[in-house]
Amino acid sequence: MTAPRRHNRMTNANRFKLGLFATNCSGGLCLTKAPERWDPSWANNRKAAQMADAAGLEFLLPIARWKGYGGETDTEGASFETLNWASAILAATENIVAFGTVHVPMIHPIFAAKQIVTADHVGEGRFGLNVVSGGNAPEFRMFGVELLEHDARYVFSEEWLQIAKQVWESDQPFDFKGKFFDLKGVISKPKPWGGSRPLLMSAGSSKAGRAFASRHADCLFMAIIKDDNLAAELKSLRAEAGGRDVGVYASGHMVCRATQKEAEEYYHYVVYEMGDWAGAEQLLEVRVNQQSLPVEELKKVKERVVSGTGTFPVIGSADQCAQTFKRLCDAGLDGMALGLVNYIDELPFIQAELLPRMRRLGLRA
Amino acid sequence: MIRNTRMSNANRYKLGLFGFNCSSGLAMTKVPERWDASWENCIAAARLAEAVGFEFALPVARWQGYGGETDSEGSAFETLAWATGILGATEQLVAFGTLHVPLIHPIFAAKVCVTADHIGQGRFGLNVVSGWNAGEFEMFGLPLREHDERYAFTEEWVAILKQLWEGPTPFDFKGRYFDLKGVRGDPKPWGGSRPLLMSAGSSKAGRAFAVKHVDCLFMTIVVDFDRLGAEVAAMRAAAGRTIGVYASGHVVCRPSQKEAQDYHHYFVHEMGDWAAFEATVKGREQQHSTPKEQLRPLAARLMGGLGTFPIIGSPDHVAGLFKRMHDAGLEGSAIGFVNYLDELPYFAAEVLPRMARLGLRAPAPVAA
Repeated sequence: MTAPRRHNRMTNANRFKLGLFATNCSGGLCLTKAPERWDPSWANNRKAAQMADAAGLEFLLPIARWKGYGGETDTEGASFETLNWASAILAATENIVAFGTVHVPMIHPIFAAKQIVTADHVGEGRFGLNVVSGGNAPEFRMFGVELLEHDARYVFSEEWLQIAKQVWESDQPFDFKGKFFDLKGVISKPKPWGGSRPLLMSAGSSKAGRAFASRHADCLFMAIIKDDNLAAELKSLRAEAGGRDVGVYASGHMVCRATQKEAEEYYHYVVYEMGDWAGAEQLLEVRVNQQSLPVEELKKVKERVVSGTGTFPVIGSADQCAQTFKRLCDAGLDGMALGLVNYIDELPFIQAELLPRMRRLGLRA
Repeated sequence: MIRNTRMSNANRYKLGLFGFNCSSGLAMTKVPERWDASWENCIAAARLAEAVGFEFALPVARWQGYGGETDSEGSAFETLAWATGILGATEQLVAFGTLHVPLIHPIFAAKVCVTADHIGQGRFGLNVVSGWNAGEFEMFGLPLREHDERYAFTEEWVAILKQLWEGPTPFDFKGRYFDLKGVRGDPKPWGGSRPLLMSAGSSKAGRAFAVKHVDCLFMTIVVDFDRLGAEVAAMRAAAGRTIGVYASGHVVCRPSQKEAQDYHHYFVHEMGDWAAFEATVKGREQQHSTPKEQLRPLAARLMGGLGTFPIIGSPDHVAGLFKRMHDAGLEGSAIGFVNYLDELPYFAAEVLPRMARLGLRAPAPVAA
């Protein structure tokens, strides 16, 4: 039996959903030395979450990071663990959905399943899980955990997720014997909040990653390198899911200002005057062996690594940003998780100027 | 560096709320008022404990219940995510997380703890558990180590945790159980100190580990108070440094001794979940942490409060027992109630003022 879909902001009627991405990490998504770069103190995390909640944003997506990207700023080098972060964020907010992000080889599925249920009860059903199969090699070496060959990772994730789902749904003890796990008499209570299970998200870009996501996840996160072929790409992604109702989201970073000129100037300042290009080099080096992102493509747009760790840039006036989201929405995208240089400083302008324009374009209520 | 929290306040006998993240708390009983460990109730109990001046909240890390009719502790929140939520909802209470160390990687755990610690601005503590119930271990599919060897594993685990928190980092670690390269992690714990570490072993190896590595030791009071004093003194001598020694207990406090005893009789003997008791005896025998011959005579204690010390009686009697524990050298107790929310107000109104008069606690909550 499969638990029913649950209702929270992630299932509201807004055609293009928005989330804040990576507030739990130092620098957020931006490799910059600009003094206003993101300080992920708990006070700042809570404030940004409460502002996003009040502004009607749908979700908060953290990054599970165990080591930073070095360079001058060691961007993402200081970060909160995402399941516990989500638990407290949910306690401090009312309606917004908070995800936790788990590298599945680093935590036992039964342990994770109970942590997730705890966060889910704290948030009364507003918790979601982002399932990550691979990761950065230096992080795995630090854990002394073998980074499996790329496709085998997804076999491991299949078992892991199957166990977690069964833990959530089964009222009777069950045994599990797979290639990676041999478990006896597994039972766990309480069950997730309200007779349904947390939203599952997955973000693989490789073929195996997408296949895993299209089988299991309620929402897929994709990286947009170029958006000229996006509609066709989204169509094939949805086709892979074979008629399952999956949401497709992308990661991005935004500089939204009163005019295009202001936005471009600030972007130039953050990236070219204050950018941590040594950090960008290191990030690319780490990702070379990861096979989940097209590194050659990323190298061509290295500035995009500096401005937003390779995510899709949304830079411009409020009108332009709204139009960009309209274009993405028309191509079939359901929403975007956004990094900002400083979430607290920039959210008020987004709420005051960007959201009303998106409303007028029919993207959001 | 000693942290400035309620755990370091001037109260001579500290109090904590124990086990309220678990269904039925510490009791194996069918009474309808047994504890419902909903998140709403957890938050309400934590806030109430904080308001009346309790120093800490201590959860029990349970992965399976005790079976029987009520499956006592069968529904439980994971303690780190629970502590994180509790810390986010309180101002001064210290909240512990409890980890069975073989179940989670120390680097993962270190970051989880730091997250909770920042959210609580230094009010997080970690209870380190080396062993566990056999059924829970099988559920995780992990190798069961021989009893004393568990502590060798825990030693490595705690060494990694402490170095991640206190530096120097990055570091490599090569031990018998872990082989780690380039270990680092930021942020560090809150405010340039580290979370309190606690452990609760009652075996010889468990106590040897505790006196060497942790800040507070939780013991089970099995014997009389005279022997307790000698035991506590021996532990402190073995530690050769400042170490807090606490005990766990379960409280039934009513206006008269008779009322308290009647209620205890009701929830344990009339309404006790004896099927759960049988299952527990079986589990603990396999676990070897409590000698077999000690278990059956302690049936009422197991049913009433999972083997913790029974504190049953009038407010005078209860306060008097805390005084005797204090005089034997203990610094505080973590206590359970059949229903934390129903019983805490009476305890606060009647027992706490008596403890103040006995010089054990200040009359009002003490911050730090």
